[in-house]
Amino acid sequence: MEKTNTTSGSGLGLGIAGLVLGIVALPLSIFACTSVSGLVLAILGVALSSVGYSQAKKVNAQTSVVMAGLVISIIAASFAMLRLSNSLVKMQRFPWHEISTRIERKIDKDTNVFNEEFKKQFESELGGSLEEVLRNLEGELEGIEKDLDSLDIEIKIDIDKKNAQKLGKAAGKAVKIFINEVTDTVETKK
Amino acid sequence: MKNLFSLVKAYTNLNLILAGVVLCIFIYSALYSYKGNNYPIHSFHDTLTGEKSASTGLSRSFSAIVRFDFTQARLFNSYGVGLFLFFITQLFLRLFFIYFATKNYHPFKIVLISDIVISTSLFVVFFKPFISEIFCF
Repeated sequence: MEKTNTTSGSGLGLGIAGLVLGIVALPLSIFACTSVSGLVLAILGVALSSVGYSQAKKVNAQTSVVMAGLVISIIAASFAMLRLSNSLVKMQRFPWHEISTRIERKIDKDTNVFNEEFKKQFESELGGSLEEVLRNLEGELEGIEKDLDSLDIEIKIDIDKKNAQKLGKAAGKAVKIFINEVTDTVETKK
Repeated sequence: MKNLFSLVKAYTNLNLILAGVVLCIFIYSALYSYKGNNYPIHSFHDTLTGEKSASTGLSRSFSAIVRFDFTQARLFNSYGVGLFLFFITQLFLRLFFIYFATKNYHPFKIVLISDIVISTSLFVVFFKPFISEIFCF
């Protein structure tokens, strides 16, 4: 006949700890807001109760409290997992595409604001509408193109190391002159 | 006899711990104000789904109850008052059962069974809306 060791409290402390964690975890796992904390406590409860159960079994001690802790912790863990899966299912139903459309709309709106501000500032700087300035610029470019076409000049450049150096220097100077011209124009406007 | 003694001792310790947990809930509700909304625990479900759940506003509701603002408590969460009542009942039940278990007026088994029946029934009654919400996928 199997004899129960009634005097040993082996595993009882762990069993009580597991039971308390399970009981605390049960309402926490039921509430949607605290289901994660509930799951953590329930897992701890299951772990402690399991260790307590194995200790109690080794010395043939009472296992009722440890067993109660194990059962309640497992129930709490299952509730928490159900609750979490419920939240995750609802998250998939969450209208992410609607949010992305809203963000796109916001970006479009901001771009329009930038365009309008740029146009306003440009017109006030040059004293005419943007369309008018662009039209004039286009006309001038066409005129230059025609003038260049009418010139019947053949330009021959013999590219060697010396000429390439000269060309590079000339291009750099031209860019510098152009920048200075633009800066002067902007400063005069101000 | 020693076995019964260790069980009663374990039961008493357990009840004391649970009473302490319930007291912690009341202290938590008193420490954080619903006006400041400075709670350290944020709703996981609300963050994840953007939806309100049955437990949304429960902490604020408990804080309002602790400050005897029952109208505001109902507005924050309609189940808040019922749940708070459950926790108060549990606090008194723990003290009540500690008394009965240690005084040996009744056999320990009867005290234990009546505790299990009363606590489980109260839990099911007060947590019914939250339990049913778990299974609503």
